[in-house]
Amino acid sequence: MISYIKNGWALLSIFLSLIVIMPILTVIFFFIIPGDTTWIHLRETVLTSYVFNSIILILFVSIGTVLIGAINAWLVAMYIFPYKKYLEWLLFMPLAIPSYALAYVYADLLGYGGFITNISSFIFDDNLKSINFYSIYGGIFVFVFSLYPYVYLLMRQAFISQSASYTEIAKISGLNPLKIIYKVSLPLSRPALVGGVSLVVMETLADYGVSDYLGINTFTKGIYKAWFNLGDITSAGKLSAILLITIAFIITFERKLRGKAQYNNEVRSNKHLKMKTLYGTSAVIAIMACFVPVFFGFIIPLATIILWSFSSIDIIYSYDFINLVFSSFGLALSASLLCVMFALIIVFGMRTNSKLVSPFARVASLGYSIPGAVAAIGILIPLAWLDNTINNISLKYLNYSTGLIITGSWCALLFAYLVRFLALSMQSVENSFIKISKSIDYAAKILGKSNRKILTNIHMKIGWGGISLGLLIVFVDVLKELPATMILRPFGLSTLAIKAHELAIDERLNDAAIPLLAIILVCLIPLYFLIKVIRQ
Amino acid sequence: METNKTLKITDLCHSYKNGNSINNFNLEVAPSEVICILGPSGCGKTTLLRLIAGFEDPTSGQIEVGDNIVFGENYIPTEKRSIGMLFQDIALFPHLSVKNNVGFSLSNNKFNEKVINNLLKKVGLEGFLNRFGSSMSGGEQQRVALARALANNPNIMLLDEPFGSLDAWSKYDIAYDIINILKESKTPTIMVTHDPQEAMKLADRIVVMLEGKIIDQGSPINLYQNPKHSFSARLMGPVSCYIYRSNNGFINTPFGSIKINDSTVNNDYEILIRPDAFTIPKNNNQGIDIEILRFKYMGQLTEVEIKDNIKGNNLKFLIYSNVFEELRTKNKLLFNKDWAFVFPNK
Repeated sequence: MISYIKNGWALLSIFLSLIVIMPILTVIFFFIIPGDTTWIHLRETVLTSYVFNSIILILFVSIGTVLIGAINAWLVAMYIFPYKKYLEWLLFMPLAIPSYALAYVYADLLGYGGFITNISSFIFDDNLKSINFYSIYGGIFVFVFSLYPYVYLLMRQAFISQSASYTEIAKISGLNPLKIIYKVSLPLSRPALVGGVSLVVMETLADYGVSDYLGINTFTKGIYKAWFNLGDITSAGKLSAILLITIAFIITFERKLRGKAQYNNEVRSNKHLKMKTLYGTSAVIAIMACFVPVFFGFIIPLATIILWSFSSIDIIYSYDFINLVFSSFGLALSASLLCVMFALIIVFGMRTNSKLVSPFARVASLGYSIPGAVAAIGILIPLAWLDNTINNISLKYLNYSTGLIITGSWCALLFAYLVRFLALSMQSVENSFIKISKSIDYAAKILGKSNRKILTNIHMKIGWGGISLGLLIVFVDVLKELPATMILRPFGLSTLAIKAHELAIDERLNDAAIPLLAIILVCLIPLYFLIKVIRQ
Repeated sequence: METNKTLKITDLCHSYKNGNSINNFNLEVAPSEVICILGPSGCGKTTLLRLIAGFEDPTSGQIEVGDNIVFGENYIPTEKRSIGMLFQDIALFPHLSVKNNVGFSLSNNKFNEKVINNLLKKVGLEGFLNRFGSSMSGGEQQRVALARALANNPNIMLLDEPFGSLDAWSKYDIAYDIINILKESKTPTIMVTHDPQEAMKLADRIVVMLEGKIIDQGSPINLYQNPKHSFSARLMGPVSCYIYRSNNGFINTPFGSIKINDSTVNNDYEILIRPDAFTIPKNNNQGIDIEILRFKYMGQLTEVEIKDNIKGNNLKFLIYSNVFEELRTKNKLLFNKDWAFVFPNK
């Protein structure tokens, strides 16, 4: 026990974890408190459609992403075909484009007077009505082409690292190639499949931009509406609690499945499956299968946004735009520094006392699966209370009103980003620290260095690569973030993402193009590093 | 200033959730003494090092390093215990040069190239100042680690299987060097290993641990000739093992009777016989007659199978191969009971 007390790091890590856990607890609290009349009204009118729409979205988006992600992962892992070395990496590219950007692009192209509608009416003699993209079908299309890379990423890795011994045993046992896929390869990569689908489901549930733009009533949109249109925090909180509990259920389910399916590492073999070369028609089919998702998920949206941007390129020089860039980058930079600072302390705390700190750290990193809107509600309530308390005390003793010094400033927003993205920075930091042997810590300790010195002089220097990747990933995610920023932003603050969304809603897509392009360009940087790491 | 380089551990206990890992452990190490803690994995030997270093805390007991109580009535954290340590994975700081690794614990006023060069000279690595770990062999890296550990003149040295990661053919050259350097600096050393050979070659005293307890200890020769536990008997050298029942204070074996202290009750006993027990009698009136059924040559030793006239089945025993050559021609064996160790069968 003595070293626990003397180990200030462990305690500090737990304290920081608890700060991040607090909003989660606040949201859960809403599940138990009774609702007011607005809530009853919401429950009786729109709640069913929120649930229904969310389920339909999750279901079809999962099916679509699994089909595209798994088939392409299989093709890339098992076969050699022309252009594969480009397509293999291009398949990741939709990760650089925010889902809402896809929604703007396709709603425009498929809408009345849109490019595709015009072509089809030309070909089919104007009998075809424009496709109504502003619907749940549009949403499914957008999410499928925007999120399939999650499934592709994990499944590809699973197929590639699968030991050849399994398939060889299956072959010796007399199974035909199709049966080998069905009976051996797929079940073996089930943890990756479940992992990928869970990511897709969580991203879909967390989305605000797409559903808002396409007018789909989902939970996140409901939370936003309850807070802004109805001004009812209890209803927003209750909706958040339902969403949070659903997600907790999904995570538990995923962990359970993964827990049982730990057969992935049983055979530690360097012997991997031998790739087959495809020729002729089968090669063309493989190329097409890989090209279609890249085309819809990356090429069309990027090309369209670039085209839009031609007519609005001048805004780059405007005061407003420079202001936007500064506030967006400033927010993203502060948030990423904050997240990495927390991550460094917590991850190092886990190293000094894993048993004590890990449970707290794990709960704190659940924040990533919480939709931004939910995190915002969880933060708003305790911080608003804190603001009022500070204001009252100040009024009473100093006769001076502090106003909303926390909720009215960047503080609340940064806190929300911390809750949402701490897990990302923790993961990067942890991955780089994991490679540092525990003996290094012991050696430094025994040579008389304090924990702080060990962290700054050794771990941060050896693990700087992972730390900077952590900074970058959080930076990008903050840059793309919509719902939490919209709920918690102080009056007058806008970001590239918010501006793009507002302009898109106003049908000023050409003007939205430049902020979108800025976001996409920045997103390409971590994607480049991700691909580089995977290639190694 | 001459410091008191000793270690004293009194009644040390430590437990994990699933049970005790160190149980009432007592040990004193004198200056220059090299102690090897030998035992199977999970016996608590690495935990013991971690407790001495302060990476974990005991549940009770006392640890004294030099003149200081570091755990017990007083508590001193790891960084102030004045301990040196070598690890199996060496743990040189990969981002630092040899110079900065060796000088890692030195304060700014003590950190100079001359001091570091002297340390490097001591470990036979003069001129390695600006090299990095990645450009050196495992043995060289471990020497740098030793120089780093010696830099602040530790009161004791802990070695956690430090030669385990080295090549088999160069291992002992480096090990002897390191042990000699430690002896010269009068630093008491505790080395943990699971390799009896290593322990016998390097230790002044071997402490055999099983399930968190010391079951035997002594000099290598003492443990070989006179083990106190069947586990240490097996560990310290080859033995042939049998179980026989006692009969009124005697155990009858095919090689002869062995007297035991307890003649009141008849019990099962474990008998372990070193190959040294078997020689060939000088004249034909001595020894027992043996009919060799089969044999297996194993280098220095040969495994011989004979008829067991007590149990009525076949029995195997180990004998030195040079003795066996003679046995084949004479078929007579002399048995020295001093090399047979008897333990109650548990």
